[in-house]
Amino acid sequence: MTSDATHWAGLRERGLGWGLNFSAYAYRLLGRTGCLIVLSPIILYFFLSGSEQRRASQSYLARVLPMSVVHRRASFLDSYRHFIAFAGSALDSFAAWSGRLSPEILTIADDTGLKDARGQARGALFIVSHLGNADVSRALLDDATRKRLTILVHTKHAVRFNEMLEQYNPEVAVNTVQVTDIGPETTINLQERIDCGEWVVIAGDRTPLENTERVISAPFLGETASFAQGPYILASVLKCPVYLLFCFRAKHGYELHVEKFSDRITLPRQSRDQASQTYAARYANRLEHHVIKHPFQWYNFFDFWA
Amino acid sequence: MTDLETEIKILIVDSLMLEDIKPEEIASEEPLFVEGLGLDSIDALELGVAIRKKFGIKIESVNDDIKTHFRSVQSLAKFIESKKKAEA
Repeated sequence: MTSDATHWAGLRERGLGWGLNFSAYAYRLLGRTGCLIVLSPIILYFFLSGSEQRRASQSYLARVLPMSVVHRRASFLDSYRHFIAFAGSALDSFAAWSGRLSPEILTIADDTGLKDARGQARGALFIVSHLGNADVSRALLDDATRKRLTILVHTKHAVRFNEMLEQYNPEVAVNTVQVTDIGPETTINLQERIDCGEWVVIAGDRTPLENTERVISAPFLGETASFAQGPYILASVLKCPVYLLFCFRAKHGYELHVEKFSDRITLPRQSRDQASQTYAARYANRLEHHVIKHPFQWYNFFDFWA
Repeated sequence: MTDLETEIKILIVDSLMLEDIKPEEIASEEPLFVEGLGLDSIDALELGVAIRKKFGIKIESVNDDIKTHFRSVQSLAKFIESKKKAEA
């Protein structure tokens, strides 16, 4: 059993190294568009066979496109374009991790948020989302900033993936902490990191798999959707400032948006649910502000309004 | 009642900002969560962090003991004492 597991893990590791080497090579040889053209049969296969993801994409696009900068009704082909955008984003992550993307392609849209966070005596909490590609930004940020990051992930797989990545390219490694539930131990660990000036990163647009109690609803793109309560609980206990981080693909490269969300989140005992609801609604509002500008960069391929 | 229990009661009232209750009104054996004092899971997080800071003890591993230790002021006092001895 053990040897099987080790063997399997070993294979995975080699697989990742090989995959990263190969995509780095393809990226250099063909460029981003060239890679996407080569990959297009595979993307088409996923588009045609992944009916659940396709339906999620279609219902999302039907909502967002009329409200967005595109300002029209969604067609069947838009969904394919959505899949291509996702493949492109995954490609960029691979290229960034393998060290193929130059840090210069990252531009900072407005540096007030980032400056503000850097000026804090202690650390901060950063809420990211699956809108745009926050992973790319972590690979493109300067060393000092990257070393400050601790990313909260939901699964052991994500932790393992990061370890493999670190072996392949130590320069893009960040700390990860696995959280299934936010308990006292995790909180104390994160508190220590915040006290040392670290930046703790958590996703705000995925609800926890296990703890279904910690879910709150907020209006998003015209209808109520579920959001995680975790980020706001964590922020209130850590007593640190909160920022939102988005990283969008622009014409040439990526654009980083860091905005201050709150100096300090408090959830008074008598009104914890209402208070966290207010924060979630504000978050959903910012998410909406950005998603209508970048409708094809939304990488949640499940029924978000379920 | 030990001095440590008094300290814990003060810490509970201060760190959780319990406005309508005084430290001496908390009974040492009274359950802190749900029934009794009626604290919730967010309070548990706050309290864990506060205890960590005040007594300098480490609560490292993820285990179910935590719930037993946090049950009442008395069990917290026992927990902190045993931790302090172990680290001394």
